[in-house]
Amino acid sequence: MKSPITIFQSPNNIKNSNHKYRFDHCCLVIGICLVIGAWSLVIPAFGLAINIDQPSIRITLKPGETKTGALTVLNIGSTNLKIKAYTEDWKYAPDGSKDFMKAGSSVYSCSNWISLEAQAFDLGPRDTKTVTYKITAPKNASGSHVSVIFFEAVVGTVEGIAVTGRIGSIMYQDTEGYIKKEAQIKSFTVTPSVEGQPVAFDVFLVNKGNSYVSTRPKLTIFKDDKEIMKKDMNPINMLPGDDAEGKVVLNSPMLKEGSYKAQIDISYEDKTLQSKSDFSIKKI
Amino acid sequence: MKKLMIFLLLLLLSLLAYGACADEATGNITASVNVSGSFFLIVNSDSFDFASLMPGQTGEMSRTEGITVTGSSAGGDPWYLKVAVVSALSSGSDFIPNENFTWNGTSEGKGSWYGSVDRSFAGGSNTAYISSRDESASGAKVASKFNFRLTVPEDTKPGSYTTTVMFTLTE
Repeated sequence: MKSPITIFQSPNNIKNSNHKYRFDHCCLVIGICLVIGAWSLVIPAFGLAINIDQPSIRITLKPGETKTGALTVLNIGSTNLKIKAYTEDWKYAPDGSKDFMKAGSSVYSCSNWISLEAQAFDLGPRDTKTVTYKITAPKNASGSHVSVIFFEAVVGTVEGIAVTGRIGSIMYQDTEGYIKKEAQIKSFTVTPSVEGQPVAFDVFLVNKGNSYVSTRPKLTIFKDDKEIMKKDMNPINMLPGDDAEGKVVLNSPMLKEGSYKAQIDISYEDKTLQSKSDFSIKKI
Repeated sequence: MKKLMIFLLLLLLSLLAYGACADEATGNITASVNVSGSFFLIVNSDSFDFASLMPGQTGEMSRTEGITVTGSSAGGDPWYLKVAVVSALSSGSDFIPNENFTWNGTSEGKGSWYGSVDRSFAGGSNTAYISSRDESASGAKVASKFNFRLTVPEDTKPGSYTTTVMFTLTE
């Protein structure tokens, strides 16, 4: 049976069996090198590759109650990693990402309520480690609190500028019986536009409760009271007291010269908020 | 013809026997598998440098292929990749301000990439990439390439300046 790599044989090699063997052998070695090379592009020989099993944790506690849980960390790379585990606080950045801060520095922090069973450990290639956490709400707790449990690859001795990474599981804590979820629409506007140009829809929300709120906005456009378009927008998430903006820009051939009505529906928990705005598209 | 009849008979008997055997062998086997959630960060290098630069000079990182950072989540919510320096580039008590240290790059993802133009570390942590709704739902892997650039101020004292660049992945 012919080996797939014999297709690389040159006519000269076919004439001499020794050469053929050497050529086959050479092709085999090159093939193995190519496979290893291709794999090395996926899993770095240096650097880091970490997987955790839960990007977020949602936990409800009564005042004074303690709960435990676990996160599994996996080294999916080919190098040994030294990992440190720790908590930090966070708040929302205007782009919806999170800005991280020292544990205990935020009003809505539960970082110091959390204790981690392992704060530093080694992970060999393909090794996993289950890290148990314990969280205790104070007896006077109310509302929502947040934190993040980070797993960071500790920088070793390197020449030049070190590069490292950390991956975090975001924790959302609600205090049972002491939660008030209340979002309000501050404004909903549509930027006037001309035919063929994009139309921007902006909604501003405020969180008036004492709890984390995650909303799922939906935009619907009507012409002559008939629905012509519907779009799911990205979630808008807020901590207590936060203002947040949701924006969507549409450039649709369906939006021709004429008058329209835009409706935004903001759903969270079992509630829905609604706002409407008239707009028109003019001819260029 | 007779041989064919015998062959067919044997074949029929074999099939019946196999069927009976299969009936007798039918049973329940409980199989289970624990599938872990997938949320990962891959960084393909642990260091880079700018070789030697003179005061007033701007240099690119020596590693011409840049640093590739891959993120993925099957959690369903958008994920965010941020990049920061843990402190300013320093050599003893001397340092180079963060506004002189910049990054840019490209991303294979369909989400929002913020590194198309040079961005400095002066403002602290920078959002580099926000996954798209589809990527968040499907657990797609997104690789982004980072290049770093440094402008050495004219009054910088000679020395070996270093810091740590940190990539952070969260939902």
